[in-house]
Amino acid sequence: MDSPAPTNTLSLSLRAWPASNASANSLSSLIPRINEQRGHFRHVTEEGLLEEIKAAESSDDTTKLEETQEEGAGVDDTRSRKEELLLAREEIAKQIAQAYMEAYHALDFISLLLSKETPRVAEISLSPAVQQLVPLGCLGADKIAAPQLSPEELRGQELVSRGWKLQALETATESLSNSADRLEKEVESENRYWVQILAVRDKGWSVCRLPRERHTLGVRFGFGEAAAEFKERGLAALRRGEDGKIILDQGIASSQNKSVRVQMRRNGAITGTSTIPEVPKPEESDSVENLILQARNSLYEEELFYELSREARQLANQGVRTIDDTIILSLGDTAAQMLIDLVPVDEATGTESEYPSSLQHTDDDNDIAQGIALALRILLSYAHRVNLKRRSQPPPPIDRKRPIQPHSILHPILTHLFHQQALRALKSLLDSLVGPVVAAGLQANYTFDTYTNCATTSPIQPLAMTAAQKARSANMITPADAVVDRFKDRLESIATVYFPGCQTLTLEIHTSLHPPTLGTEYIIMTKHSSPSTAPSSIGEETHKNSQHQPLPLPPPRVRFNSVNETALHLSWTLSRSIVQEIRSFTPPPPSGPLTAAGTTTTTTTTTPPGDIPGEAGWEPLGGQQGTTTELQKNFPQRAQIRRMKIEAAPGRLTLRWGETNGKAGWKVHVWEEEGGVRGGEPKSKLVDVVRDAGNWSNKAPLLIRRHDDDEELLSSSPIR
Amino acid sequence: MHELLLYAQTPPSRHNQLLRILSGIAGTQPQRVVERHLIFMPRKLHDSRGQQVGGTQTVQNQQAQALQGQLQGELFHLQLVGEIDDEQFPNEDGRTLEGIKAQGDEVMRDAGGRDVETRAQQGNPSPIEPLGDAVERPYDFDKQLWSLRFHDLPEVAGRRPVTSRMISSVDIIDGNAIEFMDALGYKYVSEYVLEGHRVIHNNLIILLHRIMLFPPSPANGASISSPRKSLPPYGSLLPLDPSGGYVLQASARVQDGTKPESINLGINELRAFKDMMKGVVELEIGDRLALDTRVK
Repeated sequence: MDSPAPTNTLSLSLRAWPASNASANSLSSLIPRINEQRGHFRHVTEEGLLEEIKAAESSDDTTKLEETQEEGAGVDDTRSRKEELLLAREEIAKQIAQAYMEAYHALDFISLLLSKETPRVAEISLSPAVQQLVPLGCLGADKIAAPQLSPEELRGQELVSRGWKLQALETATESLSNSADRLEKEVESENRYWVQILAVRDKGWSVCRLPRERHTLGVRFGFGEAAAEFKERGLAALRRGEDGKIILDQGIASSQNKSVRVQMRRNGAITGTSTIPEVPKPEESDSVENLILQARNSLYEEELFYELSREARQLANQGVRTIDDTIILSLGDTAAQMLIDLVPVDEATGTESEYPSSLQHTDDDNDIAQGIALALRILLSYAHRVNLKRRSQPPPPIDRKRPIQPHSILHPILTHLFHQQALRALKSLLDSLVGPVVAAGLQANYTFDTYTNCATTSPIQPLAMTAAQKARSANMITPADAVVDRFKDRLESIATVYFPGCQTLTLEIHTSLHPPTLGTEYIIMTKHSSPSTAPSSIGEETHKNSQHQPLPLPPPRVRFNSVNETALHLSWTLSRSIVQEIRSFTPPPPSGPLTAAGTTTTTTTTTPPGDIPGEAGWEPLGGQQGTTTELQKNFPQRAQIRRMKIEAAPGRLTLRWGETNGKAGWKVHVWEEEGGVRGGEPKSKLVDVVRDAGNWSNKAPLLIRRHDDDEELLSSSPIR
Repeated sequence: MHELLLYAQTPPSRHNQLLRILSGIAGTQPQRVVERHLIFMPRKLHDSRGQQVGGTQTVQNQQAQALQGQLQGELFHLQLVGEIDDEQFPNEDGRTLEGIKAQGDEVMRDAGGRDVETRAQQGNPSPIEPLGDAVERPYDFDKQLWSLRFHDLPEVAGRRPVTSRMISSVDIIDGNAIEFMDALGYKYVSEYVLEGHRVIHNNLIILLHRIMLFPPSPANGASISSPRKSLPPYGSLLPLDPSGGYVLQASARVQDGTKPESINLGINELRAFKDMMKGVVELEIGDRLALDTRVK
């Protein structure tokens, strides 16, 4: 009670003084108490204790003083004091009741215990409540002797306990040495792990913490511009394996490496396959660098296939189908198809040997497939660059949500394939047109200038672009981009065709699959090197018919959408140009109105008397110069007219001639590509045939000749 | 078109760090921006009162009323903005173009000391592109392309957590813009150069820039009635903020300001960006009256 009493509380203890406990002052309890109170013994000095005592005394004085002072203040506060006394009394009563209860319980217990021996005496002191609850004499007590151990047993027990102790010590040392070993191993593997991490970092991979697991390192190998789902997959955890080897944890993504495979199929058989990257050898695949590389490649391939599938869905109108996870490109009318699928790397290399059709692989098709596979990858990389470029430009104002267009990867490939097809078709068409003409002894050939728009750059710059912007955009176009740019949009080729009659046609072939999807367009422009004798083309009639020199208008352009239409037009143009060629064999007779080239009327009445022998003297039928494929020659002395008809078609040039006297049929000469001539003398030239027909002495055939295999049954009626 | 804006300020010492952070967030390289802004104001203020004074009973037709409204309305400053290139600034004695360039390149020098693409590469023409396009000639005022910009007084703050204002920008692709402004009844007031870097993050255009003023001309420090025909050396430009601090402006442009969904899209993006930048810079609403473009 050394602390000063609070002023307004009753400092009255009604409990008994605690009995001086012998153990409380024993040395064993005192030392910890002193330690607790004063700290270590070396801090306890005599001077310190003396001072403390002094200080305590002085503080005791002050508190006593305060007490006396405050008593005066507390006197008038009698009312609250009374209340306190009341409360204290209540407290005392409670304590007494408690003591009484406890004593009573103790009495009950002893009485119950005694009730076994002396029930009658015990019954008196036992409380009635206990008597009701418990029967008398149900609690007993007995004295038990401690077991006596023999010295042997004692020694045995001692030995056992010593043994236990030894065993425990042994296990302790063992576990300690074990953990030392484990720590050593841990340090080793940790070391190995970090060396590998550093190696990965030194190779230039970006190592970072995983966003969700802050304690795990990850490596970023994905592509920043990939679609969202692939961008996130481009981050894999670098976990430490048992022995410190790095495990590349790609989460739920399958760790199987996949690759896009391009196959060519002709008539149902696979004839070409792109090469699949080889499965790395086990010893190589161990290194983390390789694992990361494989993961990256596989990710790229998967993204490529994903983008291809997305685009293929939009290209259904171009004959692209997706069946069983395989994208099928039909290459025009031929039975050739291109299959693109995603195959696991190891599987693909395994199955290739099993392919029975692998014997049918041709080098060409393998090259095509490989080329396409490479192009697909380049185009995806290009699409990434385009994406970055688009992202770096100020975005358009926020408006309604625009769907993200799939990358353009199949588009350029298809454009190329279609363009190639168109070129091939056109080439064979021109071959088949020019061949018979050459066989007939006339001059005709053609030249091809392919992919003209890819040869030169045509950067389409926006109209309003400052120099700075231009420099910036130029800066963003790397040479690699520029190369792809040229092949991307529209393909153009130009064929120049030289027909007889000094006629030159320029054929432009455009292929574009971007909307508006026009497919392949054939644009034919006709040029005449000698306008006076040239046949007119469609739409040229007006200025050709005038007597003046034709105005230097640009050559008319005629557009066609299919090679068949083009073939028709070219055949017709060729027929007319041959007609023109026949007319120019010899100039018309010097007199008469026919001398003027380009005369619109040719009548038999104006022909001067006398037959013109040989190949000369043929005039366009009906005077429709330039647009007809028929010629006539007047024999005024015999009052006869002979007609000649030229029909050029792919692979065949036909010349028919006959008389209009009502009884004659056609005499037919056919030149074919190989130079074989049917229906006339073998190897005869067109000039000779025309000369023959122009000489009256050669009789027109009286019988209708029928062609053996052929196209048309000649009409038995005379020429109209 | 509506523009939603948030602003922050940063001292020049933090410029490079901030730019690196921004470019990391966006995943693209920052683009150098140097713009010349010419400010124009209407030449003659209209009479403050309308024609009809006093109690008139005549009912005005709607067209006349609208015209009246326009006449009575506020008048605003207009700006002609032209992009210029660093190379277009003339050389200065003692401080060559290369010096300026080198200084600019420090901006994006990464830890390894490798140059990340900045102006240094802009000087390198791509081998495909003709050389003349990338290598700049001296500044030619008559060939400068301008765009005419109008910024409205921002809406009263409080309704939205960002500054929002109506803007309009028209590219003038041909003709003499200065004469056009004259014909429009506007006169030249002053000009400044905005220099900084731009980073694009989704729909946000983030511009870390500062305003540079032309040095006072020695001839007559008084009013100049027409824009300068030539540029002073880059080093002689004076920052408007003498401490050289930069302003970070994050803006989202919305095509139709009446569509709440479009506006909300922009606001949410700005808000997300603000949260992301918390601790780096504190983005706040711009002061409405500081962005006032009205003619007083």
